Amino acid sequence: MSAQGMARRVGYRHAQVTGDDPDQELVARARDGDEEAFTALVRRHSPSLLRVARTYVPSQAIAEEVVQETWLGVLRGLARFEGRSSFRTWLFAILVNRARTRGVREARSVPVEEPAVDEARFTPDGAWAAPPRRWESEPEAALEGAEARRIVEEAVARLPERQRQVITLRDLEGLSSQDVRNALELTETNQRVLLHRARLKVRQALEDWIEA
Amino acid sequence: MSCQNDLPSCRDVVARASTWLDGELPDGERSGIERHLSLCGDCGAFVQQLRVTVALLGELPPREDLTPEAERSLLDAFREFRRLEDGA
Repeated sequence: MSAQGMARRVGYRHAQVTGDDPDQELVARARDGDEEAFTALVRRHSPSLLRVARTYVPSQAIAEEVVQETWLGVLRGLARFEGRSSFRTWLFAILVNRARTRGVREARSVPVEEPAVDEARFTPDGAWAAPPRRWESEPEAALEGAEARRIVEEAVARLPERQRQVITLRDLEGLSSQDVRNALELTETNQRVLLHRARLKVRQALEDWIEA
Repeated sequence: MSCQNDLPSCRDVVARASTWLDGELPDGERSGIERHLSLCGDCGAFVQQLRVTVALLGELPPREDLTPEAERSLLDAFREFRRLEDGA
């Protein structure tokens, strides 16, 4: 990630703690008709919006349409946006709303039952049957390298749709559990289960790679 | 490790690991999980791996931008919006 990208991400995470909205100034200027400010907002957030949209719709082209519709929704609502949530939270709520409307509904409406953990790794009384191998034996650079990121990205791409949606919003985009709960209208329990299963699968992909 | 009666099992810890990492475990459950983690190297390693995984996930930059055409179209919409608002 670029230094600028990392700084931005850190800024958003920090903002979640301090309550400052990093977009506040741009939003105020855009509301006053400043084209440059609006364009800056579009450029700042669209890559993330596209990535999230893509977890709902089957093609990049449709994802683009969803993101454009989202920005139009922002234009329509900007005068009324009161800043009770951060701009980014509001933006993602609009996006998810649009994306879900456009998204292909899963054929199966009943959620597939999966255990939260791989039962085979535990003995009947709940102890590890096959304990996790330590990753510290790996050279530190390996886990910070491009290959590790590729493994993680591919693991995310392979996830079932709902797990991919939640992990993208929570761990890739850094939205809070409350934001995601409001935007996705998921109960806390459902969100936690989906997120945990998704994370376990990604961890497993890393473990498989390390052990190979 | 042997399973002590009042501690959650390793399986329990793994099942709650994400919630604990996110700081969303209720107080009543948290102490049991943390005591287990202080005693069980395997679970400690697992939770650390989960933490590393989440950190890596947070470092993946989104790759695509809107096309220049899409951006232009939005700017047009912005100007149109301004025009309509100013005229109101």
